[in-house]
Amino acid sequence: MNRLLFFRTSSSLIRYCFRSTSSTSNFGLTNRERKRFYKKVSTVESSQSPTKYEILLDQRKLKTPSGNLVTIENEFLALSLAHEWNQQLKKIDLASMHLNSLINTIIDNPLKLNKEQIIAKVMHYLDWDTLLYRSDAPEEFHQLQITSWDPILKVVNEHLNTKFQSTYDLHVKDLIRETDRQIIEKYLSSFDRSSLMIFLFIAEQLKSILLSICLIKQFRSVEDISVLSRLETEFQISRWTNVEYYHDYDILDTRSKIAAAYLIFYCLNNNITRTIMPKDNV
Amino acid sequence: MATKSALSVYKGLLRELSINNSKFSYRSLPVYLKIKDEYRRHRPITAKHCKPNDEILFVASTYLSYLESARKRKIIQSIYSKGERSVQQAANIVGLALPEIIDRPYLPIDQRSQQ
Repeated sequence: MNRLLFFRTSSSLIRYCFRSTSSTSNFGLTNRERKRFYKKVSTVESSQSPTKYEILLDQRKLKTPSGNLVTIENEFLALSLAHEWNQQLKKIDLASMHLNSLINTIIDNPLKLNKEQIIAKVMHYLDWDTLLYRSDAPEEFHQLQITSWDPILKVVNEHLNTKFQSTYDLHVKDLIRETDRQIIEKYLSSFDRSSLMIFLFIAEQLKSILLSICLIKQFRSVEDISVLSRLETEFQISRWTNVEYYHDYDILDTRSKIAAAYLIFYCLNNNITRTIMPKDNV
Repeated sequence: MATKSALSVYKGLLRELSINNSKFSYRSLPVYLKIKDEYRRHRPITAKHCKPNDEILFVASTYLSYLESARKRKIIQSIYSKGERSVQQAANIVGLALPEIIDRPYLPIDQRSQQ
């Protein structure tokens, strides 16, 4: 009797059959895994507009998925984007390159959104802002919400002259006053389209506009903001322990996305190098 | 969490840059030169000019938390994305082993009765 040993067909064998090596305008990077095909990443000043920076991957200019050239005005942002490309050791992991994907979205604008549409999308998050709807069920959680979220409301109310209030009831109508809504809209329209797209991204991650405003005014650090946006989850973790591959992964994911988005937002609205006195970003 | 001091953010940034670049040292990275330049430029002067220093420090610590959290997320993903264990591995956890099966030549299971 012979013992037959069957090895499981490894998944890499299947992927090998499907790998194609065609190169399109964006180096064919859309969905496939690509190996790192460049040795050196460098940042140069663009020849067309001398105040902007471009990124070169081994003499080839970096382009967005739509084929537009990636030009960045801020030197620090260009350098950190170059560093992100440089960090890919063997394979290019596009899912973790948040700076790259956000900058591509800003330059491409694939959904062809103009400022009003973006503002409308952002205002949609205002009605169900996380900070305004509280629960009073476990008493500890009730106190936790008050101590963590109330200072944020206070800061936003002071800076923007609004009167946001929290509620413990889901059926209340008109929690947001019309005047507050207009104040927020006016505040948002003071940013340009790219910054608004970043703001929308942050609001989508945090599920709250008030927290995004708080981040932009540098009232709390990125770590604190990501904890504040999932306060209930954190409370349950303190009760029932942490599951690393879910909770940690989730908070690290949120944190990296928000940090990347904030970097781009700051760099769009403040030029870090060339100015002598840094401008206020509000 | 208290805001980090400028020095600890700087050290953290150097650590992150050197972890990701096992081939070259971080000194050759242009990002490192940029960060060094920024730190030199914005050394704390007097209380009047503290506000822009805090802003830049916030941006620096945001960059640090971006690098750190992206790296940790990749680590978690690489640890836990291996999928379920096979029956053999699951038995090995408690020290058991699967019984050895000796393959016989294939016998047709549904033998139709010969007409």
